[in-house]
Amino acid sequence: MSPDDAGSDGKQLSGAGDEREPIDLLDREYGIYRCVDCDNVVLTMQDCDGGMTCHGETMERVTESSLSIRPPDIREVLLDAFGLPKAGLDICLCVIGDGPISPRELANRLDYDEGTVRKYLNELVEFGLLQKSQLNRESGGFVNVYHSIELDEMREETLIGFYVWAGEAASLIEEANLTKEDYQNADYEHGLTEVFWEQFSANRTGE
Amino acid sequence: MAITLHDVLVTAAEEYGAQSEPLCAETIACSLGTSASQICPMVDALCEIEFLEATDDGYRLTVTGREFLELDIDIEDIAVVDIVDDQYT
Repeated sequence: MSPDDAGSDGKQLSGAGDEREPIDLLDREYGIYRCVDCDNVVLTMQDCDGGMTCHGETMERVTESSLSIRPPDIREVLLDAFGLPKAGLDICLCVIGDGPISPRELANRLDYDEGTVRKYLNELVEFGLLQKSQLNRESGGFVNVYHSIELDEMREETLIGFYVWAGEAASLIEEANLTKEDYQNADYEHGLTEVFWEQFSANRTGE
Repeated sequence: MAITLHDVLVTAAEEYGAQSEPLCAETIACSLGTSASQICPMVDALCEIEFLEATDDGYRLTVTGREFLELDIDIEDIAVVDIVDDQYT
């Protein structure tokens, strides 16, 4: 098993729990609001004074969902939304606030090989959680310095990045529902299952 | 207030700039109002990442250390320092 798919305890990643759980939406730090006039539904992480508005009208807070969900696991969220595997997250968590260490020392701490550490350091740079500066070395070669970005910046960027991913996921769900609606309104030769997956397969090919 | 690795580097750079010659750990410690025994492990750590170099006459700021200070980043924000030899370039 590679470090990418193993949990910190060496077990296969399977999420926080496979059980679906009802969520008390009034007890969460986020809020979901629906427009009373249109189909707009929004998610907010802040409790704005006066609530959310759509068409200039106050939106209604959603207090319950008829669909139960499987609680997300932070490792799966980072992997699905940002393509950041557990090894990358381990490296990120291990280096924050620990002062400068070498890739070899980091590899030893995490029991990864040095090549893996270097690979994920560069991925974290690409992802935007670390910045890399290259300094000259008097005896030849260079010194790569990996440093963290401001925490406030990291908080906002990861939240916006996640919202982009959530928006894309919501678009897929909406498209799936519209495909079902189209099917019901049209006379298709094939069954819904075939039509549904053909539609999504065609869309992916067309991307 | 606790003296940080960054404080030691900045002080070493200032003292080295003023003296234009290598300096001993006592000089850095004196500028920071502390003892050499507290400074020495930090100086060693800075030598390990090649920001300072130990010479026969004392410590001097390297090109790497000077370039790092120009980045205006605190050493405490550094996660990893990867020294890459010429042979790998």
